[in-house]
Amino acid sequence: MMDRLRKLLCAFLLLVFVLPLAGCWDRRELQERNLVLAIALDLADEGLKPGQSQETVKAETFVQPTGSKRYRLSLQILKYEAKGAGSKGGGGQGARKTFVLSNTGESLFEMVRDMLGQSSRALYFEHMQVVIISEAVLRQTNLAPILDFFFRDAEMRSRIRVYATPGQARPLLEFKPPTGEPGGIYLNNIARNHVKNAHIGTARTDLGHIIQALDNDADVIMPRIDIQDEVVKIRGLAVFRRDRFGGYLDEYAVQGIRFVRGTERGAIITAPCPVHPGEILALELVKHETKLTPHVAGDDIYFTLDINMTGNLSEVHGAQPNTYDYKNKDALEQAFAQEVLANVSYAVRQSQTVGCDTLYFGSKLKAHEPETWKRVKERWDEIYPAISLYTSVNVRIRNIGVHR
Amino acid sequence: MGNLERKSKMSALQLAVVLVTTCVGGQIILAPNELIMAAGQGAWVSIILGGMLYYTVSLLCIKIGEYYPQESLVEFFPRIFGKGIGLALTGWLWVTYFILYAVILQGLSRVIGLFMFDRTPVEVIGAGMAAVTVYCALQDWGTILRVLQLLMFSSVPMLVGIWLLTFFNFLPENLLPLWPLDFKGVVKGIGISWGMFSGYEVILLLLPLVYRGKIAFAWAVGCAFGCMGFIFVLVVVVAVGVLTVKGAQNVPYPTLIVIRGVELPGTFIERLENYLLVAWIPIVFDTLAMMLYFVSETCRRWLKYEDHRPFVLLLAPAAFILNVVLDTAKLYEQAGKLTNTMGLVFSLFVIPLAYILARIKRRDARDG
Amino acid sequence: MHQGKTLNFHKLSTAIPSAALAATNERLKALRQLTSEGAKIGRDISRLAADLRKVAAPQQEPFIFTSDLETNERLLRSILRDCEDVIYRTLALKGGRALLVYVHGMTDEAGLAKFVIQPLLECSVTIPEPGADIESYIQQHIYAAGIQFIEQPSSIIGEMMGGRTLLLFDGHARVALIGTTQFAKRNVGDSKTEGVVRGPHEAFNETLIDNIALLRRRVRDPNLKIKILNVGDRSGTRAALAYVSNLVKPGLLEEVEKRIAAVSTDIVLTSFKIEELISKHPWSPFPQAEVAERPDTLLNALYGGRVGIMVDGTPLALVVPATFLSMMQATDDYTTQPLGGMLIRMIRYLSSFLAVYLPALYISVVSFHPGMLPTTLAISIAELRSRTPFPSILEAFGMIIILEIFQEAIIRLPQRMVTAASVVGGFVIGTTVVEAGLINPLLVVVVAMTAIASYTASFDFAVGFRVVRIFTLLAASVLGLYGTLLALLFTTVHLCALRSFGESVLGGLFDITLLEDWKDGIVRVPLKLNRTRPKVYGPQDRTRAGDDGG
Repeated sequence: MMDRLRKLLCAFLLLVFVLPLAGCWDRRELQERNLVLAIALDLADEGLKPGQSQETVKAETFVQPTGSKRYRLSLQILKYEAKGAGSKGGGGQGARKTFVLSNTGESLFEMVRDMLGQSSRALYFEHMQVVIISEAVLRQTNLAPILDFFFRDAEMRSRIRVYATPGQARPLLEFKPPTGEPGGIYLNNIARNHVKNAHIGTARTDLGHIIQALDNDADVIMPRIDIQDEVVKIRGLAVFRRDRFGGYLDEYAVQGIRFVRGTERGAIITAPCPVHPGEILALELVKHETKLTPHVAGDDIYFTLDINMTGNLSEVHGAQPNTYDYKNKDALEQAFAQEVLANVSYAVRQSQTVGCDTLYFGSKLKAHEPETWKRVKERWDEIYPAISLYTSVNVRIRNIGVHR
Repeated sequence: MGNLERKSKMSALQLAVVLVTTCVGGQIILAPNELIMAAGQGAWVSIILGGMLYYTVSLLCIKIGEYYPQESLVEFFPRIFGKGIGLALTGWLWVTYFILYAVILQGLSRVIGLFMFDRTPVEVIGAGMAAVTVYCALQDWGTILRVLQLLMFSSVPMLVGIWLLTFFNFLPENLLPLWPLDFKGVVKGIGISWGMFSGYEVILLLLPLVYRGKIAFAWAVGCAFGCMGFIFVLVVVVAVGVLTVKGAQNVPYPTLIVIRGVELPGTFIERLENYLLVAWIPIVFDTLAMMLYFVSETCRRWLKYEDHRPFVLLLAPAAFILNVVLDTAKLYEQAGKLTNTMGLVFSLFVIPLAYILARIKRRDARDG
Repeated sequence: MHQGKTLNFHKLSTAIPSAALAATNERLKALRQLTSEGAKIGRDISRLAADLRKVAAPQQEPFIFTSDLETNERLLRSILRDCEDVIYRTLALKGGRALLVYVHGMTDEAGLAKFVIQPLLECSVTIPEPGADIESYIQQHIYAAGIQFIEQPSSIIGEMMGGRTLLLFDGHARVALIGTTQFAKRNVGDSKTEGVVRGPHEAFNETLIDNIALLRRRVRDPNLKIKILNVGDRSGTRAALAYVSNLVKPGLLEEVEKRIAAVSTDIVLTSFKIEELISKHPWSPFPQAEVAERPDTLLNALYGGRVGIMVDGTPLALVVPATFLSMMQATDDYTTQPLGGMLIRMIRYLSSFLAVYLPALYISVVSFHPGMLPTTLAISIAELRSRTPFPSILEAFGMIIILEIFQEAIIRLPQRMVTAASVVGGFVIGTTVVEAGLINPLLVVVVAMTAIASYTASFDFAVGFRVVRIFTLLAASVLGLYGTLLALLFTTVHLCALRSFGESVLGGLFDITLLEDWKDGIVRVPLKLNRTRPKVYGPQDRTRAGDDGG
């Protein structure tokens, strides 16, 4: 009995372990994968390669039974340089490390798969860094259908950056970073500095957060990226009503929004000097706490905002105020507080004008006043622009730097 | 020779470990979506209430075990309910576990296939896992017990540790309002949470193997439920805290989506969902091995065999074929619902009834 | 069985054709010659038999010593025929003759002359009459230390072949065995396989008696017992069971004895043969007994309640039961500060993990899940790999095979050639293979790391690791990380199922009933906090301090 059992077991295990040897379905060497670093989405007749003729456009694309040639999808793909003992030092300085393929169609996935006809290796999205969508596309279509491909595919990361660009998106893929990094990585990394730079709204705006906002019927915001000649810069935000493109907010508004949401740590606040009028002081934030509280009084909904900031005086542009003097110090703190207050109200005003809930008033209300939220949910679009925010700001100066 | 060769007896705490490893398993990834769908904001309340409910039922199991020491459900169910019904009720649980094995195997293959692979057939993924569970279930109980403990103490902390990394993305505000508004949903959630706690019924089979030590069974099992409850609540709370309720409802595997969003800049660790899967696979493995052991050991006791191993070899291919049949999304979902209902009925009706009948029988015996 | 079976007899000439007759004649002649030679032997045997018939020899004994010295000598000479290293020395004594028989080269001849022959020759007392007490005569007149009287002739011969001297007297059937053993042997030297920095350096050698002495010299405990057994039907190799009688787990010693008694083999030349024959899972790649080359390692194990098996001829003692934890420990863990010891131990665990799983993880990540790499790292690996023509799995297998070849060659080579082999292997092959772009440098790092890591475990375990490494690599090449994990689970189950004298090799690691063993298992706490013996081996007395000695 035991012996037979043992033999049976051996045969079974052998079968199980030998069968799979017949095929190694997913084994594909790293160098045989084309890593896609960035994707750009333009309208079909935009985003052409400089000098590209209609003939080449036709050559790139495919015949499709349904849908129209709505978009042009461009992929930025990494180019490998064989490194090794033979070629020490790699390629020459500033060598383009990526190349761009593009295609037109409607289903993003279909376009991607069709592009395999232009690629010697299979395309892999596991190292995707950024998605750039041109304003023209955003004005034409809602955001959700465009991004659905990225939500659904298991290869995508949640921390992919999504940018909106006012011009065409493809030139950003062709951009050659001065650092020699592959373009997609460069475009992703410039968004990482948001902690120290309050002008860029890249905190909590990546793909994962956009999905989350869409799931919750909240308004989406995403950073805007511009390219002009050889200058690439993230500046301001593109804002949406739900997933409908609504416009842009400038850097100053972005800074105000971030003061409300408390997502930055090292912002610079500039304010006019109270001691020597006409001159400018700068404060570097080191600590920042905000508390946004919804209040409901009958039908009236309003919010209060408490901001506590601690910072170091980092620059005095002009005559030196005597910072050893407590009176002066208090005056400085007052001046900065005034400035923050003004900044926040500017941001709120701007947001309410566009109609985008950049400050997450809605989700605050939903979390803290669920009953009220249920009541106003349907009319939120009307209520939101009229909501008032009462802000109190407290700024303290901790250090004055290493010089008086 | 004493106990030199066979160490099949276990202590109460080991029983607790077995319960945790059996219950914590596939459901960490497979269940939160369904639970949050039903209970929404109150998912964590459902889990806690569910845990308490099933803990009560498991206490009843222990009580029944006290009435019939050194016997498992295969022996005492016929004595409580009469031969035919007793056999049928044992068969009920047997069928539940048998299908559950296939369902979990299918769920595992789907998740792995979706997140780790591209073109590898789901059947191959399932077959690999089935083979390893068969190998484990073929061992004697002493070995299985040790494997379970080993995996419990290596994988569960790893899983919890990886899971705690999600606190980088955790927003407590998403949990608000903390107290659920929808009590119907919470009650429904309690039912669904059976899927998470499913497996505690193995007590009925394992009780005769536990020796009585200093630690009371009720306390040990309570610890087990506490541990499970902690893990499940942690999973659901974090899933909601990171994704919001709506977000978690929209993704089939919220757990993996949550962990995928974690980015640890400056480290070489990327794609944390793969790491989570690495910690999760052994946990599913021990659940599956335990289920397989349960069904074959029950068969052994029914047919009064010496050895449970022939049944493992007999049943595993059948379960695997069932898993292949469940390939379509619809069938898979229905099978999941079926096991959930069957298990719920067993937990909420059969066990309490068995307890009451056993108690009456006992009183009669004492009086008469 | 015999029913229905009929035998047909034919004449020989009908069976063999006439042409074969000549050949048959040839054969017949040869047979006759053999017979005539055999007759000579037959005469000897019949004479022997006649002698033997006088006294009924017990069963299973070839003969019995008689009181006639000549007969005895003839008997011995016929048994030890063609053993030309056996020396027969006749002594003419007062009142009769005596015969010394010993094996040349196994016996201290100078000592024999001085302490046996000289006193006998110079003795003025007459040999006792036949039938009188010869034992007291021997005890009175021989200076040599070890004298023994054994009944069984086969044991007597065995002892003599082992180096003792036989002393027979005319008119007496009683035979004395004199302990004069001395043979060429290796001195007690440094440990070859278990290196240690701060601990004692003495290691066992090939001589059982020396090894036992090494144990005794360290411990004066009378409870340290040595039980000598003979294994090997032909070699009669001596094996010693060492244990501490008031610590060893009840039943364990009996089990070891039972299994050793059940060993049925002709010769035992290495202790591994014993290990293999007493372990229950011969197909497992992992060892089921621990190996101790140093007396302190062995004693440490014995005082944990385990049993040691020392085999004559092998400088490596076996310790059972063996667990993963015990095999991962080293003397240096205890000769450094606890924190340092803990670090060393952790590194050893880590490296044993790397030794098995690193190549598989490399394959999984590079060929299956490149998403798990940071983008910049992925790019540089891809660029490294873009020159190599082979898929990474073949590359890894090739590299592992090269590594195994190096290891094997270096172990087999004479000492002087090793440097040359290392240069050829490491530098020439290693560097040029990378230069030529056949194998990418990262993989070389991975495999070299794996090899180095596997050296930290004991050699026996490392061999097991090598087997599992290849198995895991195969699994990884099919199913990537998932395959690696399945292999890991498979190995875990196997190691838990593997029993060494009842103890699960790996299962005790996280067994909650054995959690207290962690203080000297996974970690190493200071001795003040660790006053108990490991629970897993079930010693009779758990406390280390204050044994009552009973």
